[in-house]
Amino acid sequence: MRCGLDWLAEWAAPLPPAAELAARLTAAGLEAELREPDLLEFDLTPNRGDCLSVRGLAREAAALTEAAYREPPAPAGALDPRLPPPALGEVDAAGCPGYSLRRIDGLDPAARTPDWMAARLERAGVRGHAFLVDVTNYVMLELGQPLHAFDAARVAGAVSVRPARPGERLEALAGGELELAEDMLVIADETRALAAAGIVGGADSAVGAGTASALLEAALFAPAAVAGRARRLKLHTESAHRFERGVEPGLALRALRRATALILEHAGGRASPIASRGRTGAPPAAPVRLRARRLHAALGYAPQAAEATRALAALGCRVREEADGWVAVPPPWRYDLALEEDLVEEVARVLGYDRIPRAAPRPPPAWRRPERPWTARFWRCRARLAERGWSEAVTYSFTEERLERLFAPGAAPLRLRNPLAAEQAALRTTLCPSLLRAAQYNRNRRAPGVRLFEIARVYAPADGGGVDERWALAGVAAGAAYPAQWGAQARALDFYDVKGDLESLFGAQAPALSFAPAAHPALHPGRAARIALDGRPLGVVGALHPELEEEFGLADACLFELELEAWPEAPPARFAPWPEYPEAERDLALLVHEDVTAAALEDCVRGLGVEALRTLAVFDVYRDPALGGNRKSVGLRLIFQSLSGTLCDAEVDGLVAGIVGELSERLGAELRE
Amino acid sequence: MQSVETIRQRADAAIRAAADRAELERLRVAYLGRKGELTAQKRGLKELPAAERPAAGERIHAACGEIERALAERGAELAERETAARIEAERLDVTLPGRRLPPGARHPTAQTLRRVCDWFAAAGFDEVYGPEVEDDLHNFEALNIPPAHPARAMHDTFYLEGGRLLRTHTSPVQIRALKRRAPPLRVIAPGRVYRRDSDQTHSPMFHQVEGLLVDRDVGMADLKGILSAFLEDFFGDRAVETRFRASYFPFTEPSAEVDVRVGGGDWLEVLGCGLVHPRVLRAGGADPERWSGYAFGMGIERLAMLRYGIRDLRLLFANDLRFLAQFAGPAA
Repeated sequence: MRCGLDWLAEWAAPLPPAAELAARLTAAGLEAELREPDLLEFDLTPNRGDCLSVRGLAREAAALTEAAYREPPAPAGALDPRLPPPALGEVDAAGCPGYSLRRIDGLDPAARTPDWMAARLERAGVRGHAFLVDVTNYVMLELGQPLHAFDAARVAGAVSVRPARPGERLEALAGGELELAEDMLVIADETRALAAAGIVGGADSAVGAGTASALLEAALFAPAAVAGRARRLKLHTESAHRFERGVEPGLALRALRRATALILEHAGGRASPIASRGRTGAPPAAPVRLRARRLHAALGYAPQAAEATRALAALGCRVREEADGWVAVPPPWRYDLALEEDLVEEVARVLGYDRIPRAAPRPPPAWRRPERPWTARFWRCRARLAERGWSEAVTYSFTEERLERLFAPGAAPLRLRNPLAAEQAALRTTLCPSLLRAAQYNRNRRAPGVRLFEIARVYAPADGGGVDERWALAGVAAGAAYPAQWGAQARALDFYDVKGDLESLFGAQAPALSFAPAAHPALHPGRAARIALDGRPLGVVGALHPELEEEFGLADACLFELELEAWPEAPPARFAPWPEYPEAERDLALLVHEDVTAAALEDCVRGLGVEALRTLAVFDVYRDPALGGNRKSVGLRLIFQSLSGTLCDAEVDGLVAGIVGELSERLGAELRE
Repeated sequence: MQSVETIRQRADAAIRAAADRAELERLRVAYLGRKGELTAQKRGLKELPAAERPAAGERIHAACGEIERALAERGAELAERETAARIEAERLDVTLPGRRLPPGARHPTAQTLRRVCDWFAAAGFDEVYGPEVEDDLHNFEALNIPPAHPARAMHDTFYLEGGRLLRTHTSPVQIRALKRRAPPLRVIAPGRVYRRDSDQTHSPMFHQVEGLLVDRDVGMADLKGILSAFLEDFFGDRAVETRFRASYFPFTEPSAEVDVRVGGGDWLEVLGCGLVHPRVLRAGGADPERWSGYAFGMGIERLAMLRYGIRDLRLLFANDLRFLAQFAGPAA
């Protein structure tokens, strides 16, 4: 809402200089910005519907600056008792607790809006219309009561307020043809809807140039009957904005009379008596108690009794001081004041938040064991991955369902009913597609190598209509393994880089990991593994499926995803002594079929349970067609060491022979000379 | 038979001329070794008349000592020279870059979130998490935002098929924490939140941290104390002023917006807060006559932008490595 200072100063004076006034109002919760040297623009919170008028703002400005407040004119208004009041039909009492209508005949169809009124409307940012509309807008800005004028010649019979009928439509003054819903109220004559109640009027009953006879309406619509409707109709109107927040009850007749007086003054005519349904006055407000003890506790200081009394009285409350506090009866426009806390806030606001002292932070009430969030490990993952060259991404939790299906063909992800775009319509069950997109974005911008990870939740429908939200950690890598440099041969990242980084996440826990060849719809069938820790499934790692390279514009990307909640916290490390006796090292070059995996070799050797075998490592893999028979040569390093004594060569040779025998028998391995 | 002195002189000359330490070792053997010349002289002593023996022995012993000294001296000289030669040969261009895989960066949003949570953890707040897929009850109703409330219009909400919604703020965690723990309590709830709004200054997904403290006689002064202390630390490299302005949130009363001014610049709005509304306490199962509390909520992206001088919100969601790399930070 905008308001020129001159208008404000008519009802509150003397006001401080504009900038000071804006600062004072802003500090008290009415955000005001100086648009021009003497024009304020307000961004009001939804609880202060009472300030959506010059009257309300002047009242508030006066209370906060100790200026004197004067009520805007409330003319009794001349009426012509010979003119019959308009006929009213049914009025929905729940949605419309008060409805008033009067007829004005004999208007000068050529009447023009007086310049002073047009200027004020323009400064307030309200577009000029026909004279009658301008008057209703002007009175709304002045008093806060939305009004509406119908062309009486276009209204057939009694006017009623009723719910919209199924499929009922209204050609509106703004927003084109509206499809009304049954939870919306309409103002109707005996044939059709004339207006969406409290929101917008209809085009064919609107006043305009040539209107000689008008019906002027002032209604009180319940916030619940208006809230959200305008939004659903994709409309924002001054009227709906006010009714949603609440309009002061008991204002309707006064606004109607004020508008009538302005109309008769500038367009002539005769006004009928007012026809009303429901309540026209304000219901009595309930007194609210404010205990001094509570006020003191909430503010951290104890205002003097007189100060608090003055603050509440300045806002229009009738205040009575009691032994332990105050009893205040709020004015009709402050229908939002009903609780003790409401009064606390008002006193705090008027006295100023600057008066609230700053208390030292309280120590926790009693010592207790600090709670370690289990998400602390997320931070350790971040740190370790960052050390190894991975950067952290933040991608949206929603994704394109089509991409989801590439990763989980059978899954039915949760869908948004009102997504912003089709690519953001499903809640993701995997982080990978978003990370692939992020990698693609960087590769397209000539990043030589990309390593991106993310820690976020994934979402899946759970039994019983619930939602399963789980923390996941995923990474995508593509491009150069490291930046171009003189000291290392340039090479592309590959599966083993990613796998190595993944293993590093587990530290000394890494030997408990297992990687088994796996089928995954989005991964290269020959380069994908399921990851398990002590046999518990934890995630996948692999190269992007060749068929998806085009989709993501990435060649040779590798990715992994871990379910963080499936990863048990590692027990504290347990120290194990190492033997003091010398080690014996033996390297074996084994010829095996291409299908024999490193894991198979290791399992076979470990299966023998040789106690003195300390270390078993693949140190070389060599392929050459000359080896023949689709075979490869695998170099195995065995390190033996006994806890009980020095192993002699003959003992070690015996152990090696046993191992080679087992490998040969079970895996067809041949010792290569 | 040569005189001891002649042998000594000859040895001395050879030692001085020796080119490396291997040659020195040969000379040591040739003169002092088991079959060395001076060793032979020692053996010859017994053939001398008894009266001459002591003096001759004395001469041989002195010659041996001198040769050993000369060997040691020359040895040290040669060792020094060899080391110098090696050093010269091993000289590197230390300005060539090190072999490297530059470290990656934790996301500035995550770093900011951590900084906020760590500060409040030190102040005794437990870190708790709530679901991102919420229901109307926790996201709105229990927070004193009934269906017709105009505040709903400010929370452009994403709905799921079936009626659930993506939480529009972290405040539902207030209700969940209150239901789970009896007061007194203090919790901090970080996480993702969603609003159906996307432009230069709005992202449909962003991060918030919610704080809640419920205890006896909690007031605005407590809120002012803890939030001022936090903001002074958060922006602590320059002079920090904080300002509390009256505001409105349905779930707190009184409510305030907090602005900061760093180094005398403009006032910037950084967070919203207030005393927990009695309806919220009641919805969480706490009696407002016995307990009171404060709550605050801050947008992490906004704090990150202020802290790091980022002007465009969208950078925080673009995942551009040229952006992220700037936040790798030193190990310290």
